[in-house]
Amino acid sequence: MFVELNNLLNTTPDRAEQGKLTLLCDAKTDGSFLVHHFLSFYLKANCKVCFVALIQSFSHYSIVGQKLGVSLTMARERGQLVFLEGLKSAVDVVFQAQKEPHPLQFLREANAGNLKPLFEFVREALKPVDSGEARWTYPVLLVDDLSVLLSLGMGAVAVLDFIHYCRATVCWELKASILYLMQGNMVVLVHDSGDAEDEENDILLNGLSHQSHLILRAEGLATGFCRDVHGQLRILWRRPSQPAVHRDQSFTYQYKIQDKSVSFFAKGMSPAVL
Amino acid sequence: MAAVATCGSVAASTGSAVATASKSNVTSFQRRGPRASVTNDSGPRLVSIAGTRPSVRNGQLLVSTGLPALDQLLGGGLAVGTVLLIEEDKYNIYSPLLFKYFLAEGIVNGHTLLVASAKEDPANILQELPAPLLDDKCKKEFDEDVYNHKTPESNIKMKIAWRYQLLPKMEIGPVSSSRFGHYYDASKRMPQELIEASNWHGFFLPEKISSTLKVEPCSLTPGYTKLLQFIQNIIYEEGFDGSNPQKKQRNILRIGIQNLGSPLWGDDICCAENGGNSHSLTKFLYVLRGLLRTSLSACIITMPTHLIQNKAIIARVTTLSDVVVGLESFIGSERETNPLYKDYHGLIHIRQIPRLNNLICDESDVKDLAFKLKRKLFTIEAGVQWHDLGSRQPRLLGSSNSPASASLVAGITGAHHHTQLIFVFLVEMGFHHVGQAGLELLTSGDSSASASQSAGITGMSYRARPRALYFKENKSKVGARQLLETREEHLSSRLLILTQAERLCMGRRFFTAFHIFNELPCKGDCICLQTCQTQ
Repeated sequence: MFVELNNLLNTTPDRAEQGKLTLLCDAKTDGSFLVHHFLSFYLKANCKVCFVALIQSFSHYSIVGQKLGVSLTMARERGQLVFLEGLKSAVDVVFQAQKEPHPLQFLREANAGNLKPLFEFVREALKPVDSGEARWTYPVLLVDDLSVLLSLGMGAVAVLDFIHYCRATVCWELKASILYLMQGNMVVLVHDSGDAEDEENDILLNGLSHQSHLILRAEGLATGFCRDVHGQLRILWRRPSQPAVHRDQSFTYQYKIQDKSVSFFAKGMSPAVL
Repeated sequence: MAAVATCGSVAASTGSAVATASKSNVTSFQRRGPRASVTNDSGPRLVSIAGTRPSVRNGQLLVSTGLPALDQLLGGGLAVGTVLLIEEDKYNIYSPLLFKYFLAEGIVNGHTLLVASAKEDPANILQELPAPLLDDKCKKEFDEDVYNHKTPESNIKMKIAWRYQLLPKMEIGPVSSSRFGHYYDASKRMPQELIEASNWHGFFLPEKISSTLKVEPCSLTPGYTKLLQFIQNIIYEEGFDGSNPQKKQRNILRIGIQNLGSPLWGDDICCAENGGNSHSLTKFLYVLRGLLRTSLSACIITMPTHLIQNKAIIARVTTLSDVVVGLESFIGSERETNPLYKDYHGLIHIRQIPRLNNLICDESDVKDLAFKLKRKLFTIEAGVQWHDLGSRQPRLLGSSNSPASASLVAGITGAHHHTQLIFVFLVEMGFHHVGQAGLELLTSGDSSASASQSAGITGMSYRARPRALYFKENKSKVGARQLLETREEHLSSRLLILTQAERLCMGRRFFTAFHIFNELPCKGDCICLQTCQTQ
């Protein structure tokens, strides 16, 4: 969790908004530091987190998480974190026939199927446990990253359907016996291919941008590589319920990633320049 | 969060110098099957595998790619469990060399090899590996090379050198007892006894495709499916992932896949834009990476990306690989006759470096890298010396006034924003960044590399804006000083000129200056000025 980013987003782990879909987008740079931020943020906020990690292994997130102050192994033991490691599961799915449907079942199918098994996995993971006491505050689904699903043969529409189902479940679901809204959050990462003319990716990105409440867009600098400024972060709040004046608010900051934190500053105000 | 996993503490402590062998060399990827899930693992495992070393940044296990210069660019080497993707050059002349260097490094270090090709029999590939340069021969050749430095000839020996005009020369010579990274002589073959002593597996597609191996149904093309099965078999049977109870392996598996994605593998992404199998390659890469992450292996793949019709696939392939290096040779292009590049055979682009177990990665500052294949060695050099620019009139992009080359012109060109910004860069020595679309390459007829004359250019890589215009100021040093003295005055008119001190530390300021440029509200055209210090 980066304290400076919390200040910019005006949140703390204690009083974060619920029922929101946050879209992380990166163009020409690597936006994975945002994923690490949100992972540690929600673990510190005592939420139940389901992390669908399709691009890196568990130890990668675990080691970075330790730098940010959370222990993923402990969280997984406690039941706070449900981790789907895409790389390892893909090997299992492809090389061995599975008896029950596996979340990544679509890897075995030739045609573009749907992501129903993956959705079932998420729903199962975030189902509130009937243990009486509420251990976790609210459920959170984290996906890193959705563009990989496109590379693995899913169509953009299938991925959008999956997100829609997840949102309906995670962000608003009525529990049968007790009527309360399990308002959870969702954070997904999508790559912006820029000028690579990836139509499926553009469809996915546009579709998600319209649905999300908060968009964090990490971009590389237009002039290329800079040692002191790693990129630019655009924060866009979309509040459809507010009057048009207070609607989409947008800020732009530049950032530099350090070993354990990320420092943000206004454009042109990098400490290296001043 | 008080209980910190012991392997995590190793990673945290690698901020200090990892010098002693007692520090863990543990790879951060899970490489033991059932036991890895035990959280109170017995802490750092002392794994000392030949030919590997831990990364100073995050304690990851690294192997050499066979080219010490490339290792340096990648931040020490290739991490175990990752994929190195080489985007082939147009005529596939230099990428097989990198492929062979990787395999040769494996043989010299005693690693197990897995060579997969659809074009050539792996046994033939192994016969053609370059011979390693042994220590005493290396030293002799280095001395000769230094002697021949002033007279560039085509048959100078291999030297891996970084040359910056103003900075002290940093030579990476072969260490006498280097266990990490060797030099190879491309004109000689690897001794037969070394090849026979090594443990290697070959996958030649025409042989395997006809065999009736039981294949799990999968949506990949049959060639890819068979290759994946083959790799998985080897990994399991030889115990590289630790899941085989009988075999305890303490070695690295080096996998080399040649020409992946070409039609010989049965894939049609190079032939058709929207073929039926457009996801085959990306799925293959995904599953391959999954296999690598859980085993002690490293993989090199060469791919003819210039043939892939659908650009989106290239972007996806890049995302799914860890390290991506692109080769661009000058053969057949107009750069072959460009006097600036007469010593070089091509450019090498480091397109992507992974961030493994870390928020940041070790990117090198140098982005302009050129390679040349001398008679024996493959050299990578950074920063091309820019020479006299005065011989050709620079072409202005989108401006109305044409500059006089002999005098400093500070003008606002083609600005269609309400505020205009002009940047004037005075640099001693510049990187010449080439290869970006639309940037006019200014060359000079006089390519003498005299040390006294240094002219700088700021090469800008840009997509649309800002535009860079190059002027040459033919004045003496006095003129430049006058310009610097009027800095205050120019600031008011929004000229930003770097001071002498800033020029000297050009490397950092160069990019910082670009950053300033980027930040200011106007993205008008900019003028870059270089001074030619005539003595």
